This record gives sequence, structure tokens and C-alpha cells, in this order.
Amino acid sequence: MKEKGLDRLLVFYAWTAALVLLLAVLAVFGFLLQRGLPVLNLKLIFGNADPLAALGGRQPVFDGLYPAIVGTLMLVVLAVTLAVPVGLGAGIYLAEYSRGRQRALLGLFFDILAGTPSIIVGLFGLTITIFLHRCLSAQIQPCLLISALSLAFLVLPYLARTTQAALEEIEPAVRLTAPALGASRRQNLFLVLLPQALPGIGSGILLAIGRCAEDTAVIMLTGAVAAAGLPRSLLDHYEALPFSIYYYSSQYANPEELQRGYGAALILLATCALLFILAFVLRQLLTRSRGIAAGWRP
Amino acid sequence: MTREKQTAPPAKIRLVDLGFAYGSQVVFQEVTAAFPDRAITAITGPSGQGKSTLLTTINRLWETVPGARLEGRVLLNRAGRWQNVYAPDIDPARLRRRVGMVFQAPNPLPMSIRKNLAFPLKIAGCRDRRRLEEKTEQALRQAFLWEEVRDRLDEDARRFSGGQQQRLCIARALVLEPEVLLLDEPTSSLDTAAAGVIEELLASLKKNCALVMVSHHPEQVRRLADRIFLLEKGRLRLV
Repeated sequence: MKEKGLDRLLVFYAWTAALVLLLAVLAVFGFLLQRGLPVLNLKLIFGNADPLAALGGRQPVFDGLYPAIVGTLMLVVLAVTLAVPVGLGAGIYLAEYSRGRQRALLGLFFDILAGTPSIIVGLFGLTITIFLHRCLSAQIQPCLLISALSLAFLVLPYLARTTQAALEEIEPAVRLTAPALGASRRQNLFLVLLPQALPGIGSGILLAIGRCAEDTAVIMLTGAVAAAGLPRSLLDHYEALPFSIYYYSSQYANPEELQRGYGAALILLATCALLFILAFVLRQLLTRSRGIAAGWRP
Repeated sequence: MTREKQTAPPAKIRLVDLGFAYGSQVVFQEVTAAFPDRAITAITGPSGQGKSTLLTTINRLWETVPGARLEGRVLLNRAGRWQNVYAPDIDPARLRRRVGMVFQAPNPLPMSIRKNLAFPLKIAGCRDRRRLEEKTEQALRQAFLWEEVRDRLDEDARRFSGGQQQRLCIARALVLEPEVLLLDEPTSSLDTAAAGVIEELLASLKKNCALVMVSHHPEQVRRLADRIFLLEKGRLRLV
């Protein structure tokens, strides 16, 4: 009898917990939609500029979120492009080539890096910038490239660890298939192991994209500013959505500016959703053709 | 048991003072034996005695296992000349193209039958489409599979029955025309009927290469094997 009561209690507890989570998500989204939707229009994005002219780069946008959207997209693409080759390589090394104590030690380092607060990574980026500014060229200042590099550092451990886990999950039987047929280690890696691990690696990249899009602490120390327009080069200041949200919500002078903060939050959510969907579709496409390396059709 | 007695029929493989250990745990030692060419050699014995490991010493597949150690020599007869497979100038990947292996559970790669068959040829550098097609058909015929799959070559290999998958794996190992085929309990995951087909197939392969098979089934061993070894308590002896 007592057992049954405990069982029920456990079920009730689990249900409540799930419900609380659901309500929290709904509350956040509802609140954002309620505050942000009324201001969500082309004017929020392009200000007083003509949208088509702005998209074509013929007219600058001064009082809209367009530069911040472009800045965030550039930042994500750049940071992930920088981080993926290194993260993948590190993950492959950890899973396939390192052994014993060396593997444990390297894994520990990656876990420490993964646990480093992003503000510390931002501070590191800033320190590097100051160092380069003093020693290399006075032209170097906080900029898009430095931010992207710092963000790449931030997401590297996720990429390395998810790649490692995806490779280590592969069953021994599958792992030995190609070598038993005369494949070299490299052939086995590229033709069997990596294709098998692609879905896992894809999840890691998805995580990395989300992290790059939402992180604020790193970019506010390394080059994001409130008003910069579109970046003219990789070594230029830039605007980014998370920083815009932070800026509007902490420095607003009137209710309209605060409203724009909510609008920016909605746009950031939509941008993240778009990136996730894109990465997801890509992952599905890769998964479908897995086991067959590119250009490898009998 | 003397070495002379064993090498009486033309031998393909000779194990000389072979010892194997994982870390400090000895799996087998002082294994000396000869396996004949164009015949089926069976290795039998209680489980967990290292029969599979003994097989992988011939194609060097054990080398991917961390902490494993081997001593002694494995000699392969190539046109009358004995060659140590552990000689420094032997590339393990190339060796495994000459010494094929089939595992306990069928392990088709997640792709079509056609691509599974082409896989070993492609990694060996064959790009000629006509040759690929010829070899594929030849190997599938050898493995008693051609008639069943000739119209389904582009279907995912994992959709076929266990017995068909195992014959596919045998065909895939045969496509490189190996001199030796290692079989690690090739029928233990199959039902009696499917196992019967495989047994018939193995008997027919004797004319092409040397087969070394690990098996648990005494009847299967009696039916198929030309020479039987027992691996027990770390020693291999002729039965």
C-alpha cells in the first residue's frame, strides 16, 4: 500500500516538474510575444531606410536592427567556420589516436575549457587584442574577427567532445569492418567512421551555433558596440543582436527603446531557430548519404 | 606433435612459437601449427580461450586493440616462398587484402549491396566501372547470392535476411580474391537452414583458397573441416 502511494507521488512529482518547465517556456515566449510583437515590423529592422535599398547595401540603416542581424549572422558563420575544423580534428585525435593517460589529460583540459565562464573567454580575447594592439599594429582594436576567434574558443570543447563521443559510440564490429577488408586507418576514418559519426557531430555543431548566436559576455568585451552600422571589414566594430538586447534593456531612455529590446529578442529567437533548422536540414541530408563519401559513387 | 608431421600436405600458413597476451594476461603461448592450402582448417575449443584472437594474428587485425602483445611468427606461403606477415616491409592493410575475414555477426556497411561489394576494390584503388561490375557479379555468384539479389543490387544491404547478409559479407571478402579466408564462427548467428547454405558455400570455396574457421559446433566441424585443431588452456593441438 505504501509502495503504491510512493509510486503515485513520484509520478505526480515528475508531472509537476515537466509542467513547471512547460509553463516557464510558455511564460517567456508569451511575454516576449506580447511585448515584442507590436513593434515587430520592417521599421524595427530597417528604421527609416528603404528595406530593399538597405538589403542591397545602397542605403545605410541607422535606427534599425538590420546591422545587428547581419553582425550576428556573420559572427556565427565566422566563429563556427573557425571552430569546426579544429574541434573536429581534436575530437578525432581524442577518439582515434590518443591513448590512456594522455587521452584522459586532454579530455580534462577540454572539460576545463568547456566550464570556463564566457566572460573569462571575453577577457582573454580583450587581453589578446590589447597585446596585438601594442606589439603588432595600432590599427588592431576589438573587432569582428577577434570576437569570432574568442567565440570559436568558447565552442571548441563542445565540438571536440561531441565528435569524440560520436566516434567512440561506434560499435567495435563496425570499426573493424573496413580494416578487415584492407582499408588503411585513414580510409577507415574517412569512409566509415566519420560518416557513421556524422549525426553526432552535427548535434555538436548545432550546439555550437546556438552558443555563438546567444553569447553576450564574449562579444561585449571584444568588439560589439551599440551603433556601428554594417562592419566594413573583419577588423571593424560591429553590432550584434544579444548585445543590442542588453544595450536597449539597460540603457533605454524611453518606453519605445525598451520595446525595441523585446523586438530584438524576438528576432534573435527567430534567427536562432532559422540557424537550427538550416543545420538540421543539413544534418538530415548528410545522414541520408552517410557511409558514402563525397564523389564516391560506383 | 612434430612440425614435420603437420607440414605434410602443402601448407599455406604456419604459426611459429606464437604467443599472445593482453597486458599481463596470457591468452595462448608456444602455438606452432601449419594450416593447409585449399582446405578448411577448423579451430575449436571452449569459449573465451582466444580462438578469435588466434585468427586475427594471421591478418594482424588484433593490432588495433590497445594493450595487446604478440610474439613469434606467422608465415604465409606465397608461390613457394615463406613470408613473415610481421616483417617490417609488410603493410597490414595490403596483407588484409590477401587474407580476408568474415565475422560472427554479418557486418554489411550501411549502403547498397553494390557499394558493399565495390568497397574493398575501391579502397584498393580500382576505379574501372566495368571491372567493378564484373568482380561484383563473380563474387556474388561464388557466394551463392547472385540469383537472389541480381535485381536488388541497389537496395540497402541491411534489409536482407541474416543468412543473405552473411553471404554478402563472404562475397565482399572474396571480391579481392584472397589467398586465405578467416571465418570467425560464421554461422553462429544464423538458423539451421541459413547455416546449411553457408556450409555448402564454404566447402565450394576450398578450390580457391585456404579457409581457417573458428567453430563451436562439433557436427559442423566434422562435416566441413579437413584438419581440426583444439585451442585449450592456452595451447593449440591437432585433433
